[in-house]
Amino acid sequence: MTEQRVILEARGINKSFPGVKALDNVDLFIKAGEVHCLAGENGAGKSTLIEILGGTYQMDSGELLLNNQIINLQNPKHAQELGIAVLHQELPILRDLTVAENLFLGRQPRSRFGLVDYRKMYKDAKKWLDIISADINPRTILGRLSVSKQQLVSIAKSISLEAQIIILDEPSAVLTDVELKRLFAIIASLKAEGKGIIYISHRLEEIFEIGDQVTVLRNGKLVGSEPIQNLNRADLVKMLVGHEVLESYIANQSIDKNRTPVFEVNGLNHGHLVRNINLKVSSGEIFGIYGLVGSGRTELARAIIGADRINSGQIILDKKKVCIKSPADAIGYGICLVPEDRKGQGLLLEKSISENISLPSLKSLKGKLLLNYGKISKYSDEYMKKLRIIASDSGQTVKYLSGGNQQKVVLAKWIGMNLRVFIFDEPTRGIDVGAKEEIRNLIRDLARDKKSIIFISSEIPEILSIADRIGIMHEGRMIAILDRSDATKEKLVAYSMGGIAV
Amino acid sequence: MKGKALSLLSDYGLFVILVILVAISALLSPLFFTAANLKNFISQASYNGILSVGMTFVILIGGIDLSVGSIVGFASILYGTLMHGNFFTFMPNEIFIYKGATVLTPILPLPFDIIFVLLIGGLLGFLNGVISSRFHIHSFIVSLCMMIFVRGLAVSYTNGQPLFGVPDSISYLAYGEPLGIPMPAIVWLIICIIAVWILKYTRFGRRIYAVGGDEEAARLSGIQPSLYQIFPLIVSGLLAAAVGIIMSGRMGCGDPKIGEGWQTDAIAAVVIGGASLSGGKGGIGGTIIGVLIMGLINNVMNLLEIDAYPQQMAKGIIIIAALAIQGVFSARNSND
Amino acid sequence: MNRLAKYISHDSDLSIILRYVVLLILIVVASIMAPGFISMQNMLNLLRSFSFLGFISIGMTFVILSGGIDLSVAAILAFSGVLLGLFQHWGIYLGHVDTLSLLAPTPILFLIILSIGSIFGLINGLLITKLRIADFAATLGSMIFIRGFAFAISGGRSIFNLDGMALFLGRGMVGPVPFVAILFFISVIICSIILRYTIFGKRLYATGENPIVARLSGINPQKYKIIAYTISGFFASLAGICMAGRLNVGEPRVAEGWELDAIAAVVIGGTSFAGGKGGVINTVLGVIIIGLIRNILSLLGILPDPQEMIMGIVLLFAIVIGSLGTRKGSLARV
Repeated sequence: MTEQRVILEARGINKSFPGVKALDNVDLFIKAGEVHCLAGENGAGKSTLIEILGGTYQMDSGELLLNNQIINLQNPKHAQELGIAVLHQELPILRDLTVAENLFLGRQPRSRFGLVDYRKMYKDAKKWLDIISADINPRTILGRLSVSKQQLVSIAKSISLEAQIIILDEPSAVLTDVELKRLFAIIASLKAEGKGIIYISHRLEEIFEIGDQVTVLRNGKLVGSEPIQNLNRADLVKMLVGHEVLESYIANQSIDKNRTPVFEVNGLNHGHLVRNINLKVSSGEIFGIYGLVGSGRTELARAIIGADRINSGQIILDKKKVCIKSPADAIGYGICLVPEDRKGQGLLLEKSISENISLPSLKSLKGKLLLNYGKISKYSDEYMKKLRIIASDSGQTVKYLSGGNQQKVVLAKWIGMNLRVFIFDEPTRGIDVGAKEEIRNLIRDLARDKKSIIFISSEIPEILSIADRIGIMHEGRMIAILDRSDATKEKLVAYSMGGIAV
Repeated sequence: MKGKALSLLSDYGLFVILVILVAISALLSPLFFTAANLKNFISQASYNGILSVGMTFVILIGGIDLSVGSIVGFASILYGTLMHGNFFTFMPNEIFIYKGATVLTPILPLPFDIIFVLLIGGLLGFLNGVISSRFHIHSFIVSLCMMIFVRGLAVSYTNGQPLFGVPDSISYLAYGEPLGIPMPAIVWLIICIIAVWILKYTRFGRRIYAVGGDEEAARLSGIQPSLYQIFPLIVSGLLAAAVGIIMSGRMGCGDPKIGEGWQTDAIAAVVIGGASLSGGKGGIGGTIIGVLIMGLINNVMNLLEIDAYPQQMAKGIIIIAALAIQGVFSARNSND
Repeated sequence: MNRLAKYISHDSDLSIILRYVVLLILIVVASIMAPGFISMQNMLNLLRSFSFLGFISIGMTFVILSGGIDLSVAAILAFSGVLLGLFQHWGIYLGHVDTLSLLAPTPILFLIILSIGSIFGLINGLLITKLRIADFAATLGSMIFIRGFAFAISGGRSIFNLDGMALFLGRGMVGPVPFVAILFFISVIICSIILRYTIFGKRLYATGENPIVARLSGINPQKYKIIAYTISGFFASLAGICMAGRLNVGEPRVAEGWELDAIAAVVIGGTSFAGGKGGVINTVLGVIIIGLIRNILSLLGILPDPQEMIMGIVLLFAIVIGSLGTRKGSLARV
């Protein structure tokens, strides 16, 4: 193979967010005419890296070289001007404007008099859409297209920037098979033109199909960068997973021996991220759900508790069908959700610990007519102590608590309510190690109390250490349910990337 | 198929409604299709039309400008003051005795007085925009304060007295009829053309849509939002001042009390024209039809001699109904 | 009380102190300018004059706490006053203008009017939650409609002379204290109890601070928003009745622009536009500050129109200060 020219070099990139080291001394070399895959689990630092390359974030230290020149990216516009185009995973689109407008947002072609030249804009748009063989009328209002067509428009946009470096962040997630084939053909032709392509995907087979080189990140660190042909699937999975010591699984003694399901979900559908989900959880069981970001885990949890309206499906509690139309209904039946976004969805940040803990259970804390602050105070002190929430007292504003303590406050909201089914969505994300184990132990305690638990996580060691069975989600489907004894890291990774177990 | 029919309706429905309203108006009142009434109708509508162009800019970025009515009054009295050479002697009320002062002593020569008033209007709009953009306060509340402030300023300026006497050139702006078309309508038309040119045919205008549609998406496309958030309010203030000047011509005096409540007609016209209050959607074409619809309703209610008060009630209902229809439509679209 | 303090959190707030400093300065300024200012009699008079704005500000507090804004309060106030005048001069439609002719006993009239005011508020709430119209736009529309309605039913006329009970509401004294001030303080006490000591209150705060958290905690945020608007309608209408009694006239032009004074009073009091923070007691402070500023401007001999101009700046200033530190775009929620 001939030596290719390196067009983009990133050396020793560091980036920290409050409490997290997102990138730790990461290097990346992109050659001309190369499809460079970026792989890693959730939170490995892929997104942060591309946001830095795209000019959205500023790195803390390190250097970027474009064609051997040091560059200092100021903002997304600057990156675009230098020839780095990013196709973001969350599509930044303007639903009320036409396809062509979205393609040429902020850089519409102009005629001699400085006016926007609509005819040329539509013609150019048509040209780019034709290049990617997308059958889309550039005059259509974007919001009226399907999600996959909108994605094609975004792809056309990133190509139309005629950049040297094109970063595609999970472009395939919403595409149909035919569209995906086309995307690969486009990537092949871009490659032939000598462009550098950074391709991020959660699907193993895609990486093997179109990648030339793969760089793997884990926990913000560079694991390695290898030419694809030197790797097989097992190697790649090993790189992704690493060799961390597994936390030991503590055998759960509390599961109902007959495994009579207490809580069942039958044929649940909601949008394209919850497709025909079936699961059963018995009393005292911890049912783990593993899946990558965007696999539909959170959507499933929200659909179960009625936060989003479901298209079809049944929830069965104690062999009786229950009708859940809102989270209030779910709580009424004894089902609660500890949401992934603790700060945005779990806590009233400006309020005190006591106010947060008592919010769902105010009814039981009422005197004859008015709220009994003595009771509330006793109740919240009790759970503060039980969950070992560290704060000066229950009057402290939760905004100022550490992540672990905040999460314990969210747990305390529900633990005192004598509910039956607990759904935890990434309960340990963004929390320091000690607090993580504490939270997991609290969840194990709940199982010991014969509660049914659904535990969603994207950390494999964690889910292996706590779950009795593990369901794996990929693109809205539950593609496998493994018993703890059958589950291995490799299987989870392989299933979650849409493959079958190796 | 149903979706297609709906989208067709939302594309062309407005125009159909306008035609139907014209037909109803003609049926309700035989006076409707007389040259005098049509001229009257179009010049009445023009004032709201000019304000609505500014309001369209503001609503496109998801804002609202409640101060335009007050700026109309302020511009009118400011223009009047310029005509009487007393601009720099802003003093307590007793000193101002303007009654009967019809001898004009302009401070500035002709085009500059107009430019000056327009600039002041633009400056007031600029203040709205900067405060709202800098402190992240929705422009409706900033402009609500501005509305009170500017009206108070205008009225206390001359203790509520109108200043009589305007030059013929200004009267011509209100009453002239070149080619039989009322001047205000011509001014409105020119402003519409400029607005279409900006909004539709310049990158600047397209960026206003982008910022209004989704600030974050615009930022990722390399657009700095704050400029595009301030500019529309400048346009709105400036056009309100223009209306104030023409109104002075129409009344033959600078009147600080003119324009009260006009902001709601402008908002109604823009919303009826299909613009979304959350921004990013709408345009001058729709607004023109909205203005004509509002004008028709006013005109017919006047021809039928309906009192001012039920007319006001009708406006409240029209605004809410237009928004409700939008709300229902967008709810349906987002469920797809 | 200690437990309550613990519950409410001791997030110390410098700006509250700042507000008391402003209040103190205003009182000092006023007492220097008008020697009789500090007298008991004047204080009680002031209390009465603050009460009318006070009522609508209480309602506005509920709405802003729920994360909304209500521009229709002043119109509902005027409408209720006109309605009272009409109901007490039912013969107006028969051509007798100045004689009283009650449609029903006055207490029943009060009930009817208060219900109508509340229904206006309810409709606002429904428009906002069910038809998804932006808070300010829906209430702007209903403001225009209701004000027009007030003019339409009165034919734009002022309806003079109300009966004794109505007058007592606005002018009556209980011992040395104006009745309306007593009514206002009773309302304040009841409302702060509702906000602090009831489930409704807690859920309203939760809805205002973060409707998503509220919903996932089993609360129906829409319900609480609707109730907040209904309460606002109720208080606007109560203010309207009292104001009519005070002026002895049902007047459609009354209280124009008061919605902004009420918003400013709430914000000056420290209730945040972002919703979920503040309370009725704070609002009383805001009402007093706004009232004192107006009072001082009058003492200075400034006429109503320049007063408006100055108030415009004061209000803008208050709102800018009040919005500092709230999260970005909190009012832009549509």
